[in-house]
Amino acid sequence: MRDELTLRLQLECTLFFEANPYTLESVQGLALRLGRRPDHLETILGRLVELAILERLGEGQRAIYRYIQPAVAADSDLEWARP
Amino acid sequence: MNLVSSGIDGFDDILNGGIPRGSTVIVEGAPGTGKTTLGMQFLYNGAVREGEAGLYITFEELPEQLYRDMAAFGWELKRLEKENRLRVLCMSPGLLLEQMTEPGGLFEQLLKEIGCRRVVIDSISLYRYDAGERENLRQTLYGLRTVLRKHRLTSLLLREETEQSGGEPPFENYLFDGVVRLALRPHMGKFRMRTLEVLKMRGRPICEGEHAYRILDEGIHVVPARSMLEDVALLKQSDQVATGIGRLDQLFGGGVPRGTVLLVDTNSKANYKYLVGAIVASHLHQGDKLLAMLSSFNTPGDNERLLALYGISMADKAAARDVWYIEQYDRHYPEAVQPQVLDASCLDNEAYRSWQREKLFPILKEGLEQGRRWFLYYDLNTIFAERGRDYVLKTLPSETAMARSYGMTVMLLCNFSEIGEETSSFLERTSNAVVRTWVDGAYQFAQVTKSPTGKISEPLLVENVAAYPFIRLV
Amino acid sequence: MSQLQTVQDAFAALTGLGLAITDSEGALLTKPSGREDWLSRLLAEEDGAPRLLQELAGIWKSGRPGSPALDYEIEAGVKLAAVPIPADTGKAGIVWGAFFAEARMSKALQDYEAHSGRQEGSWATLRAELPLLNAGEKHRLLEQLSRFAQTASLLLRQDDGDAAGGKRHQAHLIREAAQLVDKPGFRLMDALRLLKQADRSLGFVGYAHRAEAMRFQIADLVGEQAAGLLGTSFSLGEGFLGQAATTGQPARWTEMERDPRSVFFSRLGIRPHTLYAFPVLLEQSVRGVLFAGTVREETAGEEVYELGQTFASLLGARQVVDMLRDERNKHYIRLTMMMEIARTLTLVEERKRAMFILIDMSVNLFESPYAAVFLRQPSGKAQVVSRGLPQREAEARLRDIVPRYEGFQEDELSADLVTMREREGVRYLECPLVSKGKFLGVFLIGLKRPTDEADARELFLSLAMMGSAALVRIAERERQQGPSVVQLLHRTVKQWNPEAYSHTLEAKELGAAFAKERGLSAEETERIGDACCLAPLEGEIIREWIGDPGLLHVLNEMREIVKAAGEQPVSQADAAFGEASQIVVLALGSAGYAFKAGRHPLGAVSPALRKRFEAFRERRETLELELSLEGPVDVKEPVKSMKELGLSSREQEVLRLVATGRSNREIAETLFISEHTVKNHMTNIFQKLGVTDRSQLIALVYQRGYGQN
Repeated sequence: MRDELTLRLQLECTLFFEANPYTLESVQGLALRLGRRPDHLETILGRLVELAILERLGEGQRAIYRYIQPAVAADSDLEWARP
Repeated sequence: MNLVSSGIDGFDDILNGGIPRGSTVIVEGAPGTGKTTLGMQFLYNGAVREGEAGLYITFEELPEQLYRDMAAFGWELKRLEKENRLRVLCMSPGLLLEQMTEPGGLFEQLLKEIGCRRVVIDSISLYRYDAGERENLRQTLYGLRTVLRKHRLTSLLLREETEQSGGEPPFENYLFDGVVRLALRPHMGKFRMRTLEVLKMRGRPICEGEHAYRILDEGIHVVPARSMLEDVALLKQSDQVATGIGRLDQLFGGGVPRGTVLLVDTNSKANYKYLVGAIVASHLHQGDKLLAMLSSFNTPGDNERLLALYGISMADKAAARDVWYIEQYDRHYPEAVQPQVLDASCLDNEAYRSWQREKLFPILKEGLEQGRRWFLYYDLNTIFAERGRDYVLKTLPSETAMARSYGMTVMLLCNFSEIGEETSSFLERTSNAVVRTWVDGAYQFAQVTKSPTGKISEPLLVENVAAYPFIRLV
Repeated sequence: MSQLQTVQDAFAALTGLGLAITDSEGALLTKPSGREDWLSRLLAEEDGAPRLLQELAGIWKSGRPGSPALDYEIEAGVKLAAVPIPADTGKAGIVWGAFFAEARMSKALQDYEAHSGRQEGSWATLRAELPLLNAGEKHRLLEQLSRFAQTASLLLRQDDGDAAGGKRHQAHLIREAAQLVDKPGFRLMDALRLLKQADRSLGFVGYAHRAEAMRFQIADLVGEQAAGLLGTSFSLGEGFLGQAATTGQPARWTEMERDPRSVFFSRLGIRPHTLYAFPVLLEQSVRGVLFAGTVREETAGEEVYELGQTFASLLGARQVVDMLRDERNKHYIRLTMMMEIARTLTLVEERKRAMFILIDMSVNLFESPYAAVFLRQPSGKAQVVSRGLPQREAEARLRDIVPRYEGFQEDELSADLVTMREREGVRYLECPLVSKGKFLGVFLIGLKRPTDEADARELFLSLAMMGSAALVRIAERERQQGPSVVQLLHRTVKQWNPEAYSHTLEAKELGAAFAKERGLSAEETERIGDACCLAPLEGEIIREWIGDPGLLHVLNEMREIVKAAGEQPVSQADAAFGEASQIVVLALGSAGYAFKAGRHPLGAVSPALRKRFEAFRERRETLELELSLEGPVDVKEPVKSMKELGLSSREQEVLRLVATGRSNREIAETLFISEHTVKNHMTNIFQKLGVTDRSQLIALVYQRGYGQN
């Protein structure tokens, strides 16, 4: 059950970063923006870093998180056609 | 001086060209005054028009909100981000400061990544809450300024409105290079007017006072005060012809801009001779061709003498085919000028129109084709008398518009008191410069009531002087 | 009997079921408890006896007496659960449980009723209130009832043989236990303590929970003499406890000091004399073992063995409730998550962002090592967004996918379109993105570890469905806003044949102006313009891209006119070709467009139309001529008012101000619109009046007698 709640927060975080892709924030700052408790967010951000959705810069309380955008292949390169 | 265009219509004019590069400027205003819009417009137009990449740092408002709000102005921020011409950065005030001061920190990385030239910080008011003590705040903002200057970033720092007038200005006003205030003022009872005032801009002469602005479809548009009818485009396009009448030239921004339609309103008592003479002569001296229609009071002989006073020989100009006269009364012209007289007497209006097209236009066209400029001097009183009011109303706008589009300068002479208020205001609208002169008691006055620069004057005394241009406005 | 009543009431409260117990003849043994509204149906009396119960009991008896829990279908869609009370001797009875409806059946009935317009049976109103159960839930319900039946059986047997007063203590304990497990903050230790109170001789009571598939661990224990047991574990079949865990049956052992199986205890320095073990079952598997024992050669009373079984039943019931609650929560949270994702997706306006969401959500939900979305673009290119896949690998996947979806035709997504595949030892789920009959592309996610496949498929399908809908919506919006196919194709003309491009541009304007003058509809006028633009393109390309049959028709006719002109010099083809097509040919020819094969195609155009067109051109040229400084004015045609020229009222207003010599900015301020808007109006006015600059415009206005209207 705790897992499901974690997941929910995780999604919330991910959607936040997707909507604001150039966000650079510490745990404290994100807690404020998301209206969540910093200690809850800490683990969630950690998981998002493990999943390579976020990048962590620095360590500890001063660590900053930012979004890693998914890779977009330039559509001029790729053909939707039989090889 | 290296100036940066603000990207805000009208704002650059108030700053006499733009913001000095690398300046850090505070933009303050109450909520709803459009600080964010102004900041984003500065970056958007900077990127799109000037090719300068920008960074918008928001502490409170979420970027997704900004993307949405700014789409209303047709600004596709995400596209600019994709093209590395803009970043809308969301971070805490403390973090920004930390990263700005860190060598090779995220801030520097970002600047490098997009080649950033402009920055907007929304808003520095947050440092007030963060910093607590005044001394801390001062240091914080000093640090901010140092970094922005070091990277030569032209920056707008948005600030919530501080104390209203009366209180001591906040110390940031001393610290930063410029301070611009946006306000909502009560206007005519129930309306409110948005105004912009430049309180300070280091290194720029500024147009003082509050200037109205509107938030239009494509962003903020500032209307410099007393220039509801300004014509900046005209100023930019054309060079100017100095009349030698100091105050007049000053009000016109250096002289009569080419392509101006200048209306001179004069009553019968006023001596407008020198005013007109100076303006006509200055254009002839500049090499313009003259097409004139003299008034019934102003005989060809008078005209010859007047021009001579300003050092111009009517005969010489006629020989060079540089002066042309439209004659409505079949009066006598000096012999040498005869070939240049276009007889329009005895023509009814319809015939006069086609005569214009058949006779007059080819002459004008030929001049233009030779790369010459035209100065048209019309006595409107004559046309009113000979052709009627309806004729003037019908033809004047198209004729002046056409003249302007060919870069011709037109001077119209007219007596407002004779043609009535309605027609007068029609003429004022049709023209983009108006000089009125009248006699009141022992003095003659002159007043510029409309000019391409937007500047107008108080009534000035007309003083005759012994030397060129024989007239002075005091 | 009061004990049975107590436990029944507790059980009813615990499970939310309606419960009744009868003997095998259908006579009530206890007062029914639980939901009144259901029970009233069950107990509806006829001649002083609950008819339904008697009837059902009769059916029951005729069936197999030893059969497990059953469900009776009382009426279409309404079922009643019933479980026999096991009895060695004495009275056998029946536990009657709640009415319920089966999800599948209920759905079918609803459909049927919606279709037939009538409701089936007198229970229809009740049916609407009944809980809908799927197969798993029904199974659990019956299991709960079975457990209760076991307890009931115990209590009934006690009632049988006993008259002693000590039983009151026992009844009290059961009531306490039932209340305990009913509390939300239930703690296992409290239940253990309660059991230990049942008999002073009990030295310890503990609970071993199943920690792993084969191992049980003792984490809860009361009784200092056996404190060493805490934290120890045993496997299935190991020792006495392991044996009970294996069989799932309660057991007891006495005088076990010398039994070799007691080594589990003796090596910890514990020497039990008697040991009781009560397995706790959930869904037919042993979840834990409740155990109790004496030390120092004491023997507990017989009632401990029975009481322990009741306790184990209650613990099991509690676990069922917990599990249901957890599952409900899990479903609830999952549902809200999916709602949140769906909400975000319905608001997204960019294709890329929608793809990001699909990918990031699946990485979150499935911990996917990678996820990717492959979209087929209208241009024939592919757009690929991925996380965790190197570019080269993403391209390889694309090559793998494309042939598999060739000729794909499905209207909407369905579960069977989700496929489980494997690549280099990693399993992944793949699903096409389809909505409203449009195939958009393919979505795939890698699966990390053995995941619950059915669960993952279901979630993945929901994501894919939401994503498809969002992508179709975005595509439709883009189509409305973006340049049309015609414009795009026209742009390609510009690239390979700039000369033809400029001719078509002129022809477009000319054709449209003429069409307007001829009074053709706006649609036809637009078609003429489009046809002029597309004239240089091959028929094949046009057939592939142009969907509008009207436009295709005009283009085809245009070609035929050109062809016909070559074959028969002058044709009387007035009615042969549509006017629109003829105008296209006229406009193109007049603009200097070089038709293929160098033919002059006007031969096939109706002479009357041709004449009108020439007159139209002449007028335009005259107009153009007189707009410049030179040239005599000689307008043969009567002038048209501005309205007739097709100006909107706003455009007329702007024109009026232009005519008085105002600048764009002045006009903007007068009309309270932006300068940009003024410019737009001006451009439109220029186009409509066929002028290229302001002074031409002003001249035109005055020449047309603006002053008069």
